[in-house]
Amino acid sequence: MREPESGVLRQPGGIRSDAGVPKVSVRNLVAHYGDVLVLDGISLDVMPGETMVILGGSGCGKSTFLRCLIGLHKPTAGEILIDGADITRTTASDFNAIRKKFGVLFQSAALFNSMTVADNVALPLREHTELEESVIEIMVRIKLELVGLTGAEHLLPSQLSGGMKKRAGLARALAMDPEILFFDEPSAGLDPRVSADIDALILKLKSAFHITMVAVTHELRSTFAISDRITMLHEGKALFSGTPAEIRQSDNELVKQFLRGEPHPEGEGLGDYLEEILR
Amino acid sequence: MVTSLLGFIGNRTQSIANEAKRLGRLTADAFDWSFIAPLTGRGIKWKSVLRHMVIVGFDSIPIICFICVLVGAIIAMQSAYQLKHFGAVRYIPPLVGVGMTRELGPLIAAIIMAGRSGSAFTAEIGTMVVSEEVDALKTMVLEPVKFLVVPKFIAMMVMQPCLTMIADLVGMFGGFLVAITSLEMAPNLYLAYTIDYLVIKDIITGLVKSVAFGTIIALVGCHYGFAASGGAEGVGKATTRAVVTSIFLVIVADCVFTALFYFAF
Repeated sequence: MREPESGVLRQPGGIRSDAGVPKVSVRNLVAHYGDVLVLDGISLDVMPGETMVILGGSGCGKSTFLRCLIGLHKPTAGEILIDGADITRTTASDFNAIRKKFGVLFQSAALFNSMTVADNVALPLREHTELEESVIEIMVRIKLELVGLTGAEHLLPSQLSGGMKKRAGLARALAMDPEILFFDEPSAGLDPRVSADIDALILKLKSAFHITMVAVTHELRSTFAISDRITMLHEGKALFSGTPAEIRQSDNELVKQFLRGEPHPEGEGLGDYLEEILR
Repeated sequence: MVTSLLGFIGNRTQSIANEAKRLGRLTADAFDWSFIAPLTGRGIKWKSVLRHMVIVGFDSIPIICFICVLVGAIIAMQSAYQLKHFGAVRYIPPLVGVGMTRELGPLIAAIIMAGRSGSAFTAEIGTMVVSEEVDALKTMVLEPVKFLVVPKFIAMMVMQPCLTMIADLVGMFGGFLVAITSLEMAPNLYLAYTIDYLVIKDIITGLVKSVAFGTIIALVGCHYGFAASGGAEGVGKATTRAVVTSIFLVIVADCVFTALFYFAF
């Protein structure tokens, strides 16, 4: 496993120097659910404009990792630095200021069902800016056009397909022009073509706006399509960190099994579950 | 056996204490966002408050009227069954009036609202929790209490007394119908007896209680919504618990208020 980047200079107050400063930096992150250890000392850096994919099988802790990064789960130990500020130790108001720098696309898109697509996208603009309603309307149209949802302004989330929901969720995540985008399983539950469309959209956004992106997924096709670097988690630990080319050449048996999509050895995973319910 | 029993009691006590702590925190946040935040420039979503006032208040009027007219009629008939033996049928109007305004109007309205609105609050917020909408609000730096709880909380605090007044009036009308149709009491006599015996304190005590009941129903409903987990089944369980807990707490609060008004005022 390659060591995460080092050589970044730490300055007093936790702020780093500008040269080669990671946009997101995680150090020895430990997280529990109750007594269960979910993340065990994860460290990684995401450089500005880079797309980092957190890869791993079900239950490896990748969703918890993302929840820690976006402040929805409090880690037990470790540091999460966003632009040099440790979000695990900031005050609520400072963290809210940091949160305004990032957008999140949830697995289910998490659109507000009682609002139209346009209102969903407009919500953060209405709440956090003093913009005129006419300006907000224009911005909403621009964001929807960006994700290929022109004309869907007045539709309700229940009237959208899975792919359209993801696009609308992405438009909402982009509403405040974020510096960092977090994706939770961006292509989960979509057919291969729609999934490829979402990947293409992510790449388009990346090249157009140089947004730093962190995506959590178990979809290999999507991972290789969008990632600059990959960190693979296994049982709460970082098993591998490197470029897509490096992960393909990895000697690690678990990494190879995952990439080949091999079933778990007998006695692990689904076998245990079936035995349990049939007992 | 004894150890496991003690363990069970201990675990249950701890879980009730934790739940009470979370409900207390939500109550404090709701009061803060409703009454303190507007003074510091953090506004209330009045459009959403009005929408909820229509849903919880206006839309509940038919069912409140239907049930309370029956309750008023039932009290009148049950009272007549006993009082006519003593020639004291004229006491039916005050009995219905005082009973409805002090006790049954606020209580019946609260129980209906716990089942109708409290459960809807839990289902709405619970569904938002399991579909990550509440997480989305947090990541957009939008306070879920301000967006989801405060409009329901204010709507219930305002509309519960209004519904209680309707329940009082309609209940008395139910008693009136029974009295004039089957007890052969003159309509003006029924009204005169009601006015003679009913004092303003009776109405006020009922309305004070109803504000507390509305607060309880809104907060318990929202609390169980936020606590929902595990998909549709989790939301269903949370909704059931919200209704049962709301009705339980409404009756406890009713007992406390009744004792307070009885002994202190």
